[in-house]
Amino acid sequence: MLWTDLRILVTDTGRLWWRLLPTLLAIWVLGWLGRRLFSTLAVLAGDLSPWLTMIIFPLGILSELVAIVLILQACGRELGIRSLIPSSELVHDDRDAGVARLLAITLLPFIGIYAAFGYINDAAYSLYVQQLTRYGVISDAPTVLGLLNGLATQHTWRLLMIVVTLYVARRLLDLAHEQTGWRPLGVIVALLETFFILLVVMGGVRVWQLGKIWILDRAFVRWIETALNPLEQFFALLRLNLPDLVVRLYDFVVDEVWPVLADTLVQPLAWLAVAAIIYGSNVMSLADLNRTVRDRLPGTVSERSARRAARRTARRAGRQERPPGRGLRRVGTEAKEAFFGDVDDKYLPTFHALRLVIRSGPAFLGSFVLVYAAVRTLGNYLQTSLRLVTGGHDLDFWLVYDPLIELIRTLPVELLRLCLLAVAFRRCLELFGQRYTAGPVQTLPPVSGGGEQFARADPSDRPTAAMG
Amino acid sequence: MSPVSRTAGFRRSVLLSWLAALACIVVAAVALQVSEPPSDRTQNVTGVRNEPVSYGDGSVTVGSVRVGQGLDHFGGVSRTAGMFLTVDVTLSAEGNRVLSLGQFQLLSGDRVYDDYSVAGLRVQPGFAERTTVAFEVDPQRIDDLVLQVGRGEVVSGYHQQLRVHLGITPENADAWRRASVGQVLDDGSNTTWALP
Repeated sequence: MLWTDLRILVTDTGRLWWRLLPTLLAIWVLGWLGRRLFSTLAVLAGDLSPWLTMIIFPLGILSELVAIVLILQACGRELGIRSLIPSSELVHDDRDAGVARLLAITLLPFIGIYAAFGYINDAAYSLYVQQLTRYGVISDAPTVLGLLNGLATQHTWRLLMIVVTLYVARRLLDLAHEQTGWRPLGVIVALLETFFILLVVMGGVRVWQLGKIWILDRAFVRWIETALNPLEQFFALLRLNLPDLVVRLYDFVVDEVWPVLADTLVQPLAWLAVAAIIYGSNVMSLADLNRTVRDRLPGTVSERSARRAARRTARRAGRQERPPGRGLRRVGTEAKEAFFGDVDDKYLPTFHALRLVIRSGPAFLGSFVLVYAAVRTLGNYLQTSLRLVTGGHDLDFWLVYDPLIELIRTLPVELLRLCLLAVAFRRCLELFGQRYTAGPVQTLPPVSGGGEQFARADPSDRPTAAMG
Repeated sequence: MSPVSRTAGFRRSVLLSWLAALACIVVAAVALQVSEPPSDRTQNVTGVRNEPVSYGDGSVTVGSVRVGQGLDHFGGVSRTAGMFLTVDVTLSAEGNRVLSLGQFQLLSGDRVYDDYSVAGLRVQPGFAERTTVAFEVDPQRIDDLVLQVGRGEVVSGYHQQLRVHLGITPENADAWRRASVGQVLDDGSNTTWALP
């Protein structure tokens, strides 16, 4: 089974990459151009105002994200991934209506994952380096970092108000987007979210540090320390330096274990979750997929699932028809809805996607992680080779040529990685479908759409239902 | 096959699957760790003392090494319980761009000595400049001292860093220690000249 998954992931990824290469190249280069263009404009705009820089800069990040979304969509179309998702789940989803709609739906949760892996931090750092080079270390010119640092240290409440206002504005726009379905609103929401994260990354960190110092300076911290003294004395009797042990354990987990785990296991799964978000939030829920697949099978529509569906519909209707509360209660309810709705929109799809992947079985998980690491290893060696070829240079050289070298470095590997995500997600759906529809009478259907070349009848695969 | 043995077989296959997955994850982690490019963002170029080493559009030459127990700089003599060591470094801008060196360190195994006097070189195209860099070192740890020089501005990109062995070996270290006794070194001032 492991070998089968490995073979499928490697061969199908290679074939998909080769077949779509011109299209994927064009999209990636356009995304790269967008990133460079907006990044340069943002730095130039810094001469007028650092706020203008902060408004333009997220457009560059979004250009890159849009390219990734479009590449994954192209791969998904080629593999016929959408046809593997039961059609009943597609009723309320109009992502196929156009690129703008797809972006409006997918960018927000995508940014959540993108930020979690520090990509926006990297972008913020590159902005800092560019402004540092443009204005010098000792300069009166206001940089983004200088502006936010000043806000964080001298006008902390003002910065916090800006952060809260941005969050509320983004949430309101998101709700307006859901109500009206007006596509540009979805993209504006994503833009606002990127701006928000950038602000938090570059300014919020300072507030966080100040907050920590403030808390450590409070009297109650001393009280806690005093209260913990007997415990300390007790452990001293045991000749066990517990605080030291805890610190060492924490350092070991944070510095040694977590980075390796995050790099090897969490990152590929999170990226697969990104693919899941792009291919359709309707397959995010494991229970939903299970239910839908079973509902699609002839003679398997159980009374239980019908009852469950009715309960679900009633719940939704109840939520919509619930009379509004009064005063503070209503505000509280609305705030709760807004906050949890935001978590739903941004993080729940990722969580469910991870569940979906993990439930596809250990063999798939292992083989996917291995192939993903192989692609990244290829990228690492390509980076080392490029360093050997270019050699060491000063900052002036890198400011001019680094974007180009970055393009050369990422172009082959990133495309391969995105193709792998599409292939892995399709395999994930197949395995998941097989798990819940295994039976002697069903037959394995060919993968539809443009994916005929990739269809296979693997003897090791269990038969599955005809879907879509 | 009885249901009990079938269940046992199923459990065994599940266990094997998880073990295989774990093996894959371990292999993946090792591959990523091994292939990870060095994080120090520097290209270390090794050179030989008294011979120019290519650096950017020009070259760097590490020259004379002197040792002592006093250092004459800023108009006064500083004394040390250890040893002062000075190295002559020449930067030549043979190309069309300004060259600079801002970081000088002395490596002794894992131990790193920063320069005692803050040194720096900045040379216009067509010129060369020589400076004397001073270090305060532990006399017992001078075997295989290596001078490391670079521009010292690793904020982005991949930078060149030169490493030159100063010629102090375990065999001649005692001779260097003896030579330092009672000596006062001159920190010197930078000298600039036009390249031919």
